[in-house]
Formats: sequence, C-alpha cells, structure tokens
Amino acid sequence: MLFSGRKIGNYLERRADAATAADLVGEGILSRNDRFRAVSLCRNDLLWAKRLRKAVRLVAAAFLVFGMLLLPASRYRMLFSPEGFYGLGALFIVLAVFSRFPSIWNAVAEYACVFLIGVLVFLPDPDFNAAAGIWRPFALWTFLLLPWSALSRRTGIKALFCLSAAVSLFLYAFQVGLPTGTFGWQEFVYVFSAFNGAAVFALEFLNGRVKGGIGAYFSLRFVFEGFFLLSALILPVQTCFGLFYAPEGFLWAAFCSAAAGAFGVFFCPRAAIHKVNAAFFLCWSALGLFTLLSGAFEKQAALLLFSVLFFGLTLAAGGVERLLIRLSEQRRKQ
Amino acid sequence: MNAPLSVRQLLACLDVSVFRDETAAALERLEDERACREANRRSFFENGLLLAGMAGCAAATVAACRLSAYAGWIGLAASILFYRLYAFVPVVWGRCLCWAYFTAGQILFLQAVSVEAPAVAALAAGGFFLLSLKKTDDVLCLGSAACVFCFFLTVSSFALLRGDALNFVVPFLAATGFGACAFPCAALLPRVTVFIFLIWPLLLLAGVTAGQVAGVWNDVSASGAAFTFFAEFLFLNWVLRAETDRREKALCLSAALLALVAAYTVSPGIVGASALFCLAFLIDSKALAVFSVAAILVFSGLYVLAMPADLGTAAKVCFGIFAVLFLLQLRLKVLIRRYRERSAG
Repeated sequence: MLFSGRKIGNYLERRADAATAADLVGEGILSRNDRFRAVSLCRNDLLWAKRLRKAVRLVAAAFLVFGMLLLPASRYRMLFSPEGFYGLGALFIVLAVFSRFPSIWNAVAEYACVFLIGVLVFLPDPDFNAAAGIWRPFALWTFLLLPWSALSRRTGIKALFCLSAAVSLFLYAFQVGLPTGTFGWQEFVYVFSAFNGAAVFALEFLNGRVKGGIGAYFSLRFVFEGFFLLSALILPVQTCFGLFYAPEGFLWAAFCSAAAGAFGVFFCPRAAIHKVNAAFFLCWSALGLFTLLSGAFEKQAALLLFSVLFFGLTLAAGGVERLLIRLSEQRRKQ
Repeated sequence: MNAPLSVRQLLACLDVSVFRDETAAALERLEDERACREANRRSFFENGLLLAGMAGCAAATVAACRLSAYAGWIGLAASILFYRLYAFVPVVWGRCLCWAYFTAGQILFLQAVSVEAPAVAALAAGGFFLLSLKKTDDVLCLGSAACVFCFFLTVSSFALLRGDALNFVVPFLAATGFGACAFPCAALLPRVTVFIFLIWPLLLLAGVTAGQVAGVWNDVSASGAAFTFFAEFLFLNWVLRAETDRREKALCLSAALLALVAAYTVSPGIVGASALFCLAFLIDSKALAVFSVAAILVFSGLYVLAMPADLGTAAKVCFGIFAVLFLLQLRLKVLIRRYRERSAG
C-alpha cells in the first residue's frame, strides 16, 4: 500500500489538541479508553487553573455586587443590628491582616480599614449624628486614625487624618467652643485655609530641623498645600456664581497666592510648586475678573470681554510662573 | 504537562505506532480532512453575516406563511424542496439560504403538527434533525437543525407533560450531550450539536427559574433536572474511573454527593453549570467553560432573587458567599504559584 509520506508527516508535526484527540479516536487510531488521557496530555493545566481562579473571582464579585445591591434595598438593617456590627468588626480585622501582605490589593485593604473604622464609629447610634454632638464621633475617628496615619506610608491616609482632625476641630468650635452665631461659614473657610497654610510652612520649617519622624509626614506637603489653596478658592467661586457674597475672599486668595509664591521661592524651590501657584493665580484672578465684569456689564458683553481678557490673564499666570522659577533659581545660586 | 505536544509526540506517549498500514491510511485521511476544513474555513465576520441572513430569511418566511390555513403543507413542501436543492447549490451563501428556507418550512410544518399532535411533532423534529446530520456538515446549518429539534422537543414536552416537562427534556438532552462528549460515538454527533444539547437544558432551566421568581411558572417541577445534574457528576466519575486512584475516586464521589445536596437545597442550575465546567475541562473546551461560568452567574442571581428570606438576610448570605469564594481564589492563587515554581524547578 502506498501512502503520501509528506501528508502524514505534515499531520504528525501539527500541534495536538482536544479536537485532534477526538479525530484520532473517531478514526480508530486511539482506543476509546485513551481519549481523556490524550486530551489530558494536550491540555494546558496551568491555563485551566487560571481560568478556574478567574471564574471563582467573577462569581465572588457577582455575590459582592448582589450583597451591595441588597444592602440599600433592605435599608441597611443588617448593619444596624449587633450581628452586622460584629461582622464589620471581623471584616476590619481580616482587612487589617490582609493589608500587611505585599500585594497590589493591600492599598485597597488599608483604605477600606480606615473607612471601616469610621463606619464602626458612626454606626452604633445613627441618631447621635444628627444631634448637636456630631463632633464627638469625628473626634473619636480622628483619635483612632492617629496610629494608622503614623504607621502608614500612604499620603491619602495621612490626609484623611488631617481632614478628619480639621473637621472635628471646627465642629467642636461650632457646637461647643464658641457661642452660637459668632463663627460663620466665611470665618470657617479663612481659618481652615490659614490652618493648612500654616501646616505647609510648619512642615517645611521642621523638615530641616527635626531628625527622623517628620520624614514620613513630609509627603503631606502637597496635601496641605492643596487644602490651603482649594479652600482659598471656595469663597471666590461662591461669589462669582452668586451663591454666597464674600468679595473679601478675593483679597484672601491674593494673599494666599503671594504666600504660596513666597513658599515656593524661599522654602521649596520646585517647578511643580510654581506651576500649582500659577494655576491658582489664574483661577482666582479669572473668577475675580468675571465677577467685576458681570457687575459692570450685561451678561453677554461680560462674557465677550472676559473671553478676551482671560487670554491676558493666562499670559500673566505664565509670567508669574517664570518669575517664581527665576527667583528660586537665583536664590539657589546664592 | 504544559509544553504543547505534536501529534507525533502524543501518539508516542500513548504507545501508538504510525507505521501500521491502517494507522497511516487514517492519518492520511485526517490530513485530507484538515486541509479541506482549512480551505473552507470562514471568518468570524462572514459567519456572523451568514447567521444573520439565515435567521432573517427563516423568520420572514415563517412570519409570511404562518397566517395561511395551509401553512403546515406549504412548510412541508418548502422543506422538501429546499432540502433537495441544498446539494445542488455550489456557493456557500446559496447553500446556507437554502438551509434557512428548509428550516423555515420545517418550523411551519412542525408548528402545524404540534397543535394537533405534540408527540408526533417532537418525533418529526427528531427525524428532521437526523436527516440534517446526513445532509450537511456546515456548522451553522447543523446548529440551526439542533436548535429547532430542541425547541420542538421542549414545546411538545410542555404540551404533553406540563409541570413534568423539565423532568423529561433536561435528562434527555443532558444525557445525549454528556454521552456524546464522553464516548467516541461523538463522531456521530458533530461538536456544535453536542454543545447545543449541553447548553439547552441550562437555558431552559434558567427560563423556568426566572418564571418561578416572577411567580408565573410555579407548577413546574425541577426535581428531575436536579437529579440529572447530580447524575452528570456521577457519570463524570464513571468516565474517569480508569484515570483516578482510590483517593481521587473518594474525593470525586464526595463532590458528587455534595452536588446532590446542593442541587436539591440550593440551585440545580448552579450544579448543572458546574458539571458543565468540569466537562469543559475534561474535553478542553474554552467555549463551553465560558458558557458554564456565565450560567453560574445567572443562576446565582436567580438564587439570590428566589431566596425565601428577607432582604437583610439575603445580603448577609451574599457577603458570606463572597468571603468564602474570595478565600478560595486566594488559595487557588497559592496553588498556581506552587505549580509554576515546581514546573520551573
């Protein structure tokens, strides 16, 4: 009998897979009992193990989503029960342990832990939060966040601690420390901004003088700077859009801009800081310009003029940035 | 083993000589078939277009002729005509359209018959299906024939058995599909039809369960389906009896018993989909594995919706299952890493 050796050779050199095994059994080359053995030889078990893990993860995620959908549907009844509280406590412990292992998920676990502390503090008595003593759970959360923020290297957790500390401080001032009505929204914004600005300078001042300890907190500089400048923008934004009339906010923003510029030149000569300062300058000056124009002209004319003048403001912001960079370079050379 | 084997290595592993005349002839035949398949292979895009065209033609024909008093006879005539024409059309598109009209005629005829005699309609659908196996080897044509058969089998069962329909349809199709996968008579049934036989029971069960959740089909019993899915696990154990040692046999049997309990107490659909995943692993089919995971997700959702507890308890159960599965996937991660290290070492 003559056979085409080339054809047979081609077939024999092909990669074997499950379909090939079925074909070989179908042609009677392999016996029926050998079929699964042949498939197991062709199969990539590692790939199937990965597929199984992926499937388990997918089903787990589906149950998580079902649970999260059922939670609001049941009006969070589960969380307010003692079992829910213990369950969250157990979850906190599991996540806390999990966050110590090196994995890309340990950041998620760590942030989840920090928020769970808040949930566990606020949950037991939800009515308590609506009462006058709301500063207390915030203060307790801040207190419990202290060890986490001290030991963690994550800037977000430190920032959360600072934010919660600031909120509890101001809530205490609103509700207990000061007589009612003497501490308004405007004052709150000024003091919050000033507090964060002082923190920016203090951190930079301490950084060169205190050995150890402050290093971990030093990455907070941008966070404080962010709070400092963003809170200084609140009043100009509100004034510009007619939500809250506080034209003094522009003066405060100008002062903050000058302070941040000085900080960039004298303390932290970095291009990133100068860029942030220039952007802040552009924001508050644009808001101020638009407020002035809308006070003096009708809406359409104000928008038209603003679109032309905003170009000039952008150029000015660029000039400010160049000036700050040049000044800080000169200072470094000296 | 993870390194890809060639057919030569596979045959060597299984101690099969390629120098025997019968083996050489079979290998030559297989190479011819493979080359033929390669030459006739259509792209995914072309297959999609053909499927849409076929479905559109069949649907339009059924919609146009359905209102006629003689729809059944017209259907029979059309199906015979296009069944005969199929062999004479040389172009793929033409052949597939012929098959679409054949399918439409078949649907019209079977629909007319099922009104008078559901059992005859189911038998006729079976006959048409067997005919199609003889006539065509095109994936789309075979798939449509299998779907029509499964549909009319289901419709007739519901008409005859009512609440017990699932107890007949699911065991019948699942046994055929599993049997065809596990035994070499698989050569008689092409892969696509076997997959449809495996998928259909789960789709049907999902539809019935959704109806039960909505409070429409409360009188349909799924106990037979639950037992079938348990039997699938037992069947897999039996098929693997030569490949497993005593410890593994005991483990597999425990898994089957767990499946029995879960099928009756939790959800037969989840057990059926899990059995399908195991089968997909055994026959190394990614498509079947993807379908089974999707089915597990759907049945999990239906299980949560059908839970006879209040919403708070349902949420607790969901979080509990999530925690267990999360830990399980961590364990799998460790096992995968160990396996990789062992392979590298």
